[in-house]
Amino acid sequence: MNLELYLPQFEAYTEGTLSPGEREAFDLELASNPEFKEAFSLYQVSLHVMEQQIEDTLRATLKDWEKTHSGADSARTEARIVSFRARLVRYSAAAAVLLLVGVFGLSLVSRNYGNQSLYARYYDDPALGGLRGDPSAPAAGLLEEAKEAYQNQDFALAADKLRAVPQTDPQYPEALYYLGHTYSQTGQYAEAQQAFSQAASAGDSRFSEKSEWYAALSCLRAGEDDAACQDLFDRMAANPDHSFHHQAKEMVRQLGSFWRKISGVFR
Amino acid sequence: MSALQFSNDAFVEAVKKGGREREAAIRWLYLDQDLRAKVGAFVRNNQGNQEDGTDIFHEGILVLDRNIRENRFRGEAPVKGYFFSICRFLWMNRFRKQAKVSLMEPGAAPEQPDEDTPEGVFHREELKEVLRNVLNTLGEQCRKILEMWKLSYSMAEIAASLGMDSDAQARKAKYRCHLGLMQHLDNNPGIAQLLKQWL
Repeated sequence: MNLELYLPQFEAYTEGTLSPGEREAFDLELASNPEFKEAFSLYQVSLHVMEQQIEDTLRATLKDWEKTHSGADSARTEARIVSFRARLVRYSAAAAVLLLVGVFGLSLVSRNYGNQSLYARYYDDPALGGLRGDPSAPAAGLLEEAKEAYQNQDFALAADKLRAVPQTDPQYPEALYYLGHTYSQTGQYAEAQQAFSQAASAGDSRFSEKSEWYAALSCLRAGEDDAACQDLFDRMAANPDHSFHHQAKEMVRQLGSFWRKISGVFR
Repeated sequence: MSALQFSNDAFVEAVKKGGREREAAIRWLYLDQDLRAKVGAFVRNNQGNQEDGTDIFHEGILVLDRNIRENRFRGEAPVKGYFFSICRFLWMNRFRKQAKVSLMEPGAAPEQPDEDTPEGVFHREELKEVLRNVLNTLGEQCRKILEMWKLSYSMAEIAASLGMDSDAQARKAKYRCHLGLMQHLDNNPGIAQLLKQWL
C-alpha cells in the first residue's frame, strides 16, 4: 500500500484545502480504488488514535492543575500558620521559659528552627517580575508565556514553558532559575533544588549566586541530609564576596544552634 | 486566576481553533468555581462525595472538549449549561454502572449528550485500551507531535515546543510519525479491523 503517496492527499482532503476539481478526483478515486479506500480508512483510524492521546494528555493536565490548586491552597494555609506562629512567639515571649520545659515548648522550638520554618523565613518569591528577557532571543516568547502562566498561578504551564527553553538559548540559565521558583511554588523542592543547581553552574553570573542560595534553601526544605545542605550554606558563608554571604552566615549559625539541635528530636 | 473571559461563541471558537486558544478556554472553564461547586453539589446530593465531584468535573471537561471539536455541540444551549448536563449524565451513568441506586433526576437536558449503557461504557474502556496500545508503539516525541498537529498547533509552535530548529523540521517529523502510525496499522490488520468496527 502506497501510504507515503496517499498521506499528503488525505491531509489536504480532510483539511479542505483541495480545489473542487481535486476533490472530485479524490472522491472518484475513493469510489474506484479499493487500495486507496483502505488507506483512507487507516488514515481515519489514525486520527482516532491521536484523539486518545489528546484525551490522555488533557486528563493528565487537569490532574496537574488540581494538584497545583491543592498545593497553592496548602501553601496559603501553611503561610498563615507560620505567620500565626511568629506572632505567637512574640506574644508569648514572657512564657517562653515555661513553654520550653514542656512538650509544647519543645514543639514550638522545632517549628521555629525546623526546616520548614527556616525555609519560609528566607525564601523570597520573585513573582517572576524580573523575567523580561531579550525580545530578540529565540526563547523570548516562551519566557513571556511562562511569566504570564506564573502570574496566573498556572505553575504547571509555567514549568512546561521554562523546560521548553533549549539549552543552547542564551536565556537558558534564567529559565532554569525561574523553573526552580516554579517548582518551589508547587512544593516540588527536590526538583527545585536540581533546577537551581543547574542554573548555578550554567555560567551566567547574574543567576549563579542567587541560584546557589535557593538550591541550598530547597535542599533544606526537601528534607535532604542536613550535612549536605549545611555544606552548601557553609560554602557561601565562607566566601565574603558571595551575594548571600550574610544570609548564609546567619543560616549556618541557626543550623548549628542549640535550639536547632533540640528541634531535631521532632524533625 | 485567568484574566480571560469567554462568551459562548468565543469559547466554542477557541476550542475548535485548537492550540493555545483551546488551552486558555479550557483553563477558563476549569477555574470556574461556581460551575465546579454546582457539579460537586449535584454529585454530593446524589450519594457521591467530593472526590467523585472533582472526577466528574474533569471527565465533563474531556467530553465537552471533544464534543465541541467534533461539532457535536450545536451551540443551541449555553456552554456552561451543556457542560453541567454532561456532568449530570456522566454521574448518572457511573451510578447505574455501579448499580447503587437510581437517580431522582433523569430529566432530559438541552442537547443532551449520548447516554451510555453499562455495556457501552465497558466497550469504550476496551477501545481506549486498544488505542493506548497503538499509541505506545510510537515514541514520546511522535505522540506529542501528532497530538499538537491534531489540535491545530502551527508547525512553528510544534518546532518551538520540541526544541526543533525550524517549521520544516517539524513538518518532516510530523509526516514521518503519521506515516509510521499508519504503517503500524497496516501491518497489524487485526487491530486496524477491530478499531474500524468500533469507531
